[in-house]
Amino acid sequence: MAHKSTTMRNGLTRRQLLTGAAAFGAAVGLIGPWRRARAQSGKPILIGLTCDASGTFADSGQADRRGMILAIEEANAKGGVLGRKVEPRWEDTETDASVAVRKAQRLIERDRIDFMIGALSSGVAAPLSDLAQRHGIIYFNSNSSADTVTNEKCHRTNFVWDANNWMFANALGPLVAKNLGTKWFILTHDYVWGKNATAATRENMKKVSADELGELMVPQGTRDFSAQLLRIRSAKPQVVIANVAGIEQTALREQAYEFGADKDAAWVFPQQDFPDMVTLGPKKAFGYFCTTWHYTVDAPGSKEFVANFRKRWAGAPIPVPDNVSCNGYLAMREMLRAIERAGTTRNHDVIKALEGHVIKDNFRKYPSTIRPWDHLVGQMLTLAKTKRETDMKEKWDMIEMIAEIPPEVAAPPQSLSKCKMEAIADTPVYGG
Amino acid sequence: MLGVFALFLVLPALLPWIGGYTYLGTEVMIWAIFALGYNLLLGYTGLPAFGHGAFFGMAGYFLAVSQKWWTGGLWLPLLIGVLGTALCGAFVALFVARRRGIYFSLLTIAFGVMFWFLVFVLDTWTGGEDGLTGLLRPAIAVPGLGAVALRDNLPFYYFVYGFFVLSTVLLWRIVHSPFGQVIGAIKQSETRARAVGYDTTLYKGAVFTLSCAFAGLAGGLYSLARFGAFAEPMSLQQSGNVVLMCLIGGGFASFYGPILGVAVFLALRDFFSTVTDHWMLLYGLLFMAIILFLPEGILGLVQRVRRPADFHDTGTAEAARAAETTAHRSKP
Amino acid sequence: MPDIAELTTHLLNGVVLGLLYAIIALGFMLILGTMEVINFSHGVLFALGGYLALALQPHVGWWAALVLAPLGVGAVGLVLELGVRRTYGRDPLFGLLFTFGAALALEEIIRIVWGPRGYTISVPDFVSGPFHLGFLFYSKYRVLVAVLAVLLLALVWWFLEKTPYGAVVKAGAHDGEMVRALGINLTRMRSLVFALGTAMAGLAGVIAAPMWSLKPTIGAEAVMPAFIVVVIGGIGSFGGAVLGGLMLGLASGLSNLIVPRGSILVMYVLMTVVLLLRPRGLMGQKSMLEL
Repeated sequence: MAHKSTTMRNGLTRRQLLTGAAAFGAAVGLIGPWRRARAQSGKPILIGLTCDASGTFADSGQADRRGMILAIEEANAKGGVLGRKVEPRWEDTETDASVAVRKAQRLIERDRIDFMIGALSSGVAAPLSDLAQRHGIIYFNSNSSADTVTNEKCHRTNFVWDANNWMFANALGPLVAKNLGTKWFILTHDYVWGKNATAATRENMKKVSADELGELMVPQGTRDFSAQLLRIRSAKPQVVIANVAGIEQTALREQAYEFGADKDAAWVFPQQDFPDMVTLGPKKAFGYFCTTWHYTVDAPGSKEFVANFRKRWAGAPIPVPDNVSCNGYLAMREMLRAIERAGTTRNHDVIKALEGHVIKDNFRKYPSTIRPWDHLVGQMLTLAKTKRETDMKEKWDMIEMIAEIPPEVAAPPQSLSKCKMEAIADTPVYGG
Repeated sequence: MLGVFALFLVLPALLPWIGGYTYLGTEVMIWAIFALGYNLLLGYTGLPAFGHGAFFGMAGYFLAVSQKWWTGGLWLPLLIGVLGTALCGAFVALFVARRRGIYFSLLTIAFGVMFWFLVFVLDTWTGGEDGLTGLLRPAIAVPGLGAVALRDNLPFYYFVYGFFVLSTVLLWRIVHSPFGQVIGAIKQSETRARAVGYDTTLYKGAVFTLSCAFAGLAGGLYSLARFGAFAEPMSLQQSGNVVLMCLIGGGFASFYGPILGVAVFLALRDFFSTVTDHWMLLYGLLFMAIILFLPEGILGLVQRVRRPADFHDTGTAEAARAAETTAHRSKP
Repeated sequence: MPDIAELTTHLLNGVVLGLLYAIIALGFMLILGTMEVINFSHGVLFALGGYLALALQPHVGWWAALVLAPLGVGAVGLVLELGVRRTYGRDPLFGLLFTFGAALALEEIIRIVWGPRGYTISVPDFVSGPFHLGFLFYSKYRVLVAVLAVLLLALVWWFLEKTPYGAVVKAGAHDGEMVRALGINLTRMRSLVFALGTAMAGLAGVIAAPMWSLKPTIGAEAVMPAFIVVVIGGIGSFGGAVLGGLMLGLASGLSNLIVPRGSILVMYVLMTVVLLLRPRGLMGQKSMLEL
């Protein structure tokens, strides 16, 4: 039979090619005319949204997107930007670096987006900002807190809108040492982000004279925290710094609560996104953390923003804005405003309109600044803790703000910056 | 074959007309190299390996690590990618070459996932979840053209095209060589092949390693395409993709099946994800539908429609063999 | 130097984990052994069990959900089998791929119905919290998990070894012709086994959910150990599945103590070692799968 198949295969070559080409063409052709129709409806400004809808950061990714969409809709309601309509093009980056790169490539090449925004996971943010720089596309990391993208991996086209590990560690350190204790135990999520966060914690401990009673690694995929919880119980620290994220954090909290370990010490989770707290509920979302904003903050413009958001997203899983969606909203809004200020979509001009810009209407006490040397948005931070259930006015009212840290103190000084950005002249021109 | 090569030669010009883009074409060729090499194992030898994504992915890491910290450049890391992957393939072959059927699949799955986890464990080298980024595509010296920069999509497309042509020709030769005949015999009946005197384990191991070498080439090119090595292709789900690609196109029935399968698969994936957020549902249903209704793939269907008498139905052959073996065993 | 309390805790964790692995693997192996199908959707059905329990608990309570959710999963398994049966007798790859597609579709359905976010499930009050036993703090819930697991394993063992139908199931793997000759409806038996196997995965999902919390992606993590247990324990052996599961659980638990980083990798090292020494698994029997 082997022989027969050989002749069969030879004889079919040309015919196969035709069938193959036809099938291929048919499959891809489905996309063709449809796409052309879209392109002909005028020249809107296309923004690529790289947000997760699946994977670990799915909830936050969607919150991020909700903020962005609201900003786009508001801009369009006022007549668009530079008289042009703004259109989002969203791709699910699946909390995965490789998928993100592939889809971003598609957004750039196929959809021909003008700007790009998104990313929660540092693993996604870094390669996307590399990609953006290669093409010259301006990219806003709306919600990733990696330190590397504003230091070693910084790029001229990249702007970072969330606070990073250094900021969280340094904002928390003094407050924790003063109010909760100086004997710390560290839990480190055993991957790049977690290790960076712990490095920042350790650096800060020196400054506030805190003692490290011990450290335990939490490998990815850990579902059993009895080891860590037992060790903590016997070490008797005053504070536990838990640099653990994602589903491991959820499981850790579950079991800490189950074991009664949440009462063993003051638990500090330097990084806490609100969508994750919702999953846990007030009892299991115990502990202290640092946040950039929550919808209960009373500041100019805040109430109006919250009302607009609630109206727009009434049926969403989280119908109130939180730190994640607020970052998404502000980032998107400022991108559009910068385009307006520059008077063009040409990247070099928009970058110049962004660097050094001060954002006053950011719904909080202190204005934020887009720092020109590392493109990090310097903003204030607030130490917070989870409210007791009895104190909550509604399901989303989980956060109690404790102390504020102004941006000059919260953000890393220029002297510490390891960022060596490409010069504007070396950045490929895009848009305009 | 020339027809296929001609088509891909002019593809970048055609693609924008049908809603595609150059990068998609590059991806198609890269996966085609992977799938053709894999089909050597699946379609020609009848060994259903199910963890091959691991080899596709690890090649990227071998390339990235060599380029960043060892040799730099382009050709040497690419070579290291191929060799490193082939070596790992040979290692796994030591365990799996003795088996076949379900047990074979089970083992390949297990090893595939093992490599996937290794990537995360060794995160100082691999960058873990973040992947290993910052790869370069250095310019190459082409005789007659001087230095050609590969940074842009179009030159890189043709760079990959060279390898695509090379791999296709090479695999064609392998399949039509005495070696190819032996593995075909093993597919039909390993016991018979052994009875005739062939060391089937050795041949199976060799095919496995070869398929890993091609996966290594494809994986290396893929990491260059994305300027980084990532763990995603190594997951179980992605390993399943290459199997589906071979199947859709008709890898059991034709040498070119995998190429067609890759094209259809990637185009559909692009299409589905633009249509709906829940494209994975459509994708899973498509998988199931193909297995149920079109297991011989598109080209197999074409063959069957045109030459019903000659059609080689793997399914029927398997059932016949199974019945034959049962009959043998129920004898006292 | 870890103290005795820590060591005991890890060992106990290993046992509980191992029992859970054994249940998942056993369900997987029933399907594998009887129909020669590698059921890739086993993991997502594990997740589905947890999600169904989540949906049912507020209405019928924890215990009723414990019974109903696996039944629901078994029903899904029955439907799946209708498609899988078309792949019997063919290249085993087809059965594998079919269930692979099913796994993707089912995971997306979970995501559509319940959303991509995570959920936590609480345990019934009487087992909530830790208990003291001298120097030991242990979670009451995990003890319940262990008890339930042992009960289930005993039940399945009794079914396979001591009931006539169970004997038929065991025989069916080896000789479908003979089973039919005895007048037993082979098709119905296969449906039943598939439903049973998937229901076991669902049950494991229900009891694991409070420990591990729910996300659509947990299925993938649950199915991997099943493969390894079957490879280690040997296909076709009940004892092998239990032994393999326990070994895997203990290895994971102990390595959590000594080198937490490698606790997942240690599973694969174990598998490789076993394969080198006993290629057919610890208690594997020569089966039709090897032909």
